[in-house]
Amino acid sequence: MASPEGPGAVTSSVNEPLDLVRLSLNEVVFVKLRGDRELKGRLHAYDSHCNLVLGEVEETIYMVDEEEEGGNGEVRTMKKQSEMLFVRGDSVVLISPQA
Amino acid sequence: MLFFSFFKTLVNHEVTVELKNDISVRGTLKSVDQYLNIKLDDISVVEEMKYPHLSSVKNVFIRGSVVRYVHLPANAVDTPLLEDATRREASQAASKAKQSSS
Amino acid sequence: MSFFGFETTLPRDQKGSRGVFEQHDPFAGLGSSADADDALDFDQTYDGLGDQLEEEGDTFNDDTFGSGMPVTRQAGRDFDFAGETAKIRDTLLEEQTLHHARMPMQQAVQQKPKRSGYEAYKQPDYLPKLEADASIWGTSVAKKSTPQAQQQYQPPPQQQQMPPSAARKMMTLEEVEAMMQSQPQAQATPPVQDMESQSQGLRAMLGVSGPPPGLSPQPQQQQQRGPPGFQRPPPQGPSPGPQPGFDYNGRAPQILQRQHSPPRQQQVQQGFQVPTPPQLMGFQQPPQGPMGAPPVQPPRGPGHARDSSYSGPPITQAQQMMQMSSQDRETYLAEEAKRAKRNHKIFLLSKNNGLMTPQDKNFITRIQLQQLLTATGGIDNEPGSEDQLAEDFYYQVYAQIRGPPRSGPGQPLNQFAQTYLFQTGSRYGYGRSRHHPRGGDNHVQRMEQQVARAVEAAKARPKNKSLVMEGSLGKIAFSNSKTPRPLLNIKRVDNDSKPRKPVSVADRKETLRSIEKVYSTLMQTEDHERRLPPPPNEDSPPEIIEGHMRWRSEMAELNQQLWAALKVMEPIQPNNGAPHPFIQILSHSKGKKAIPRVFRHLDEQQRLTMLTLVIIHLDVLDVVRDAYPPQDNTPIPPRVKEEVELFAQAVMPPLFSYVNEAPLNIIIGLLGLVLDRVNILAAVRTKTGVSILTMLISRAELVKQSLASSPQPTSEQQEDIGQWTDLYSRLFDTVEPLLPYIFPTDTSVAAADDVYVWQFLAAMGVGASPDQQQRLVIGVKERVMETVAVSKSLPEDMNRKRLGDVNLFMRAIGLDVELLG
Repeated sequence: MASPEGPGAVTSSVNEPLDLVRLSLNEVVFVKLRGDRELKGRLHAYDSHCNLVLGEVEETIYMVDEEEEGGNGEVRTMKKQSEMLFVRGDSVVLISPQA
Repeated sequence: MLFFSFFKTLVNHEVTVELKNDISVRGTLKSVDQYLNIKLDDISVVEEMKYPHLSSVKNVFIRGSVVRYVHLPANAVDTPLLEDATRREASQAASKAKQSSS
Repeated sequence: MSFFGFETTLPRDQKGSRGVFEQHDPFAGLGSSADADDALDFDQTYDGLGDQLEEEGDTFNDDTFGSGMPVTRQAGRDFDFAGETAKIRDTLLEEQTLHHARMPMQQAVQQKPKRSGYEAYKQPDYLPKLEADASIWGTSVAKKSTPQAQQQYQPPPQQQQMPPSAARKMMTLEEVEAMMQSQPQAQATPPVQDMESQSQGLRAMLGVSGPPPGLSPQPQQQQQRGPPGFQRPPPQGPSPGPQPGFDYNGRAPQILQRQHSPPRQQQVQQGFQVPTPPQLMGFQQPPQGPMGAPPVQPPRGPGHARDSSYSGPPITQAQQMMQMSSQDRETYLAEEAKRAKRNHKIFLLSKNNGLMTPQDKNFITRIQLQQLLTATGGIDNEPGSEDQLAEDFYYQVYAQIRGPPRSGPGQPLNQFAQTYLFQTGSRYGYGRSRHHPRGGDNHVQRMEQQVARAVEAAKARPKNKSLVMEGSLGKIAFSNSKTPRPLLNIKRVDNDSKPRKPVSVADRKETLRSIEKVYSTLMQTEDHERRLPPPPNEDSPPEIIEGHMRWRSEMAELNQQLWAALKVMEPIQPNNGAPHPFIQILSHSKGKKAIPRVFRHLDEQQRLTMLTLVIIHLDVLDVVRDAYPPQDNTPIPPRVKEEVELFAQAVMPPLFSYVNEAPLNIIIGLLGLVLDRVNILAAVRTKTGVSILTMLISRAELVKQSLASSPQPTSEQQEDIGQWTDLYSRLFDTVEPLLPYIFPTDTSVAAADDVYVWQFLAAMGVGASPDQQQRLVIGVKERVMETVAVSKSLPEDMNRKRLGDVNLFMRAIGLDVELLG
């Protein structure tokens, strides 16, 4: 704890990308996932693999209606709610503060 | 180890595991390991009609890497504690990185 | 080559790549010689083999097998000699070990030969004995197991074949053979015999002095290397006693015989009789009877087990046993059988012993331990240790707070979790609050208690006498008419008295950064607090005192960092537009949640400074600004309500606890600041604003009344009271026009959560002059009547609660809802 630079020196600088994610702890974040999925929810936990725990989550899934003729597929969205959600990091594309 | 630690507290709780192939399996979380492999008991498959081949399976072992989500019971999560734990983990990682870089 | 049951490719493959299995292989030379030449050179290979065979073994083939038995024909039936021999391998090994172990003990053994009989191998004349034994077998011919006997005696010949004298001894086998050949006819087990003899014969042909193919060559190696005196039991297991060997020994023939469906009894007997020396057999036969094996089996157990190192005691036991009554013997035998069983188990477990070197084992063990530790989440498994907490913080603390998810072994109470709970206070929080109705109205209750105390104290004074005598709202209304108030001319408060520009992204990020800094420092402080050394006393050695001093100075440093991180001391810039940094911290829910934890570590001065900062920014707190009732009476957004709740749960209690101890002059100063700098009209229409005012007023009333009741108030105290009264009047005048509007507007009267308003009115009522009390009543009369009316239609308990809320206020001014009829 009592490092040479004194306590708090470790976190005094935000150097790494995940330090930015830390700022969003307990804040509402926007998460983009593989497979045309997006999440919005309060960030309760994360780790270096981008594993996440989100609370009061709304998931949005974008689906293209595949029509026989091809093309002209209409994008449909489906929304799902979850009170508490663990998200495995390997699906995560980006995490953004919901400012 | 944060999420391993986290999931250990959810043992014996009902969870729904959504896999990357869109199958959702609901069951009692029986165990978890550091790879976040998951063992579920008394499972039922959401949208069973779609995946009848799982209808007779009573418990499953799920490889962690095929998991997309795990839906959790919110009342089993102590969010302030979890956030503190996350901060600790982040600080440790940062100090480790610092040590190794210096 | 598979003729011999060898894996012909193996020796080649093994060359140079046998690794841990690097051992002497008695067949290695043979195999390689066969394989060094290609399959095309089979003749040559064959010739080589033939040489060996002829040289060493063939001489006695006829003696052994009789001339009329072509080996090849026998082999055609079942040529897996290696496999079969492997099954009795342990017995063979044992015999060898035994033999060597015995050599030093030869003298003693000779005196008691009936115990094992093996010692006789050392005697030049042991073969005659064998003959004699054979004659004994003759008495129990029906159950004979000559093939086994032959096998049993294989090891000695193996060793003694090397000296030339072996030739002479081998001759005696002829006699044995003769017996065996006569027996098969009687017992219909010639194939067994054939194969057994064949296996021996084959080995003899091969000139192999080691165990038959398929045996692990390791013990052989030992035997060959070490001088007999150093011979130890083979490393297979803790006690590779003959008992396991016996089992194997018995099993092998059983399998063999099964192919020819022999009588079961014979199988059993073969099993146990084989290793038993003839003399002993002779003694044992009577009890043995038709039952066969069990009686004989036990004595061998201990005897053999010890024989591997020492041959004395077993013999004694055997003697004793023979003197036992049949009953004793049975129990003894039963015990021995148990032991034999156990030995067998041990053997099974130890079958593969010696495959790995100690280094290999160490390596594997290290890996396993490492995995185990990472799996359990800590290098140090002691619960509550620093390492474990670092790795498994959430689980460890959670398990302490809520109980482990499963009933595991009772962990010692986790000191850290307790401290953590204490440091972080009660479990308020977003995720929990909505699912766990915590008894979290602590703050409201405490406020209520304080108000009630103030009311009680006020009642002790007779000042409200006249009003109580008047006793009805009607009269108060009448008095109102004498001093009309511009009730309808209430100036609508504009909320834009201060510029409100949205917080910029950069500012927001800066605030979040500040909050995380607060948390980092906070957790360091909490960790440091946990490491508080025991308090030193006068007797403490200097290093303890020094350690304590160092702890304190570090704590002070952490406190300074924490204080700096909170940004409370940042200059206030009223015209900046952006709220004060600390207020911005408070505007985030995690900022609010940090306050109770932070507050514990602040000193009195810091607490007062923080409280002051909150109070002078009362109207710009997010929980006030965002919660101001919208013009159209639409409900306040749930997100804002959550923040308001969180503020009440997290921020108010520490502030309240501070105010609750504060002297009157501080309250006066704080209220003065509110009146001077805060847009009270904005604050008073929100729950948070009203609560803070209630907090100040009720505390002031309590102090004032305790001062007033003291016999001789000092002049200073008098002055404070006077000052307070002035301030109160100013507040009253400011608030009065808003009285009808301070109730929550977004819900119906029936469902309103307005207890905080009644608390405020009660606190105001306690300190009010009679005139002010009347004005209070006028201001809220409608709401009082409405609530009482609505309550009548509510369920009993709701009704009582609502009336109780109203009565908080009514009693403060000496009235009661009962009076309203």
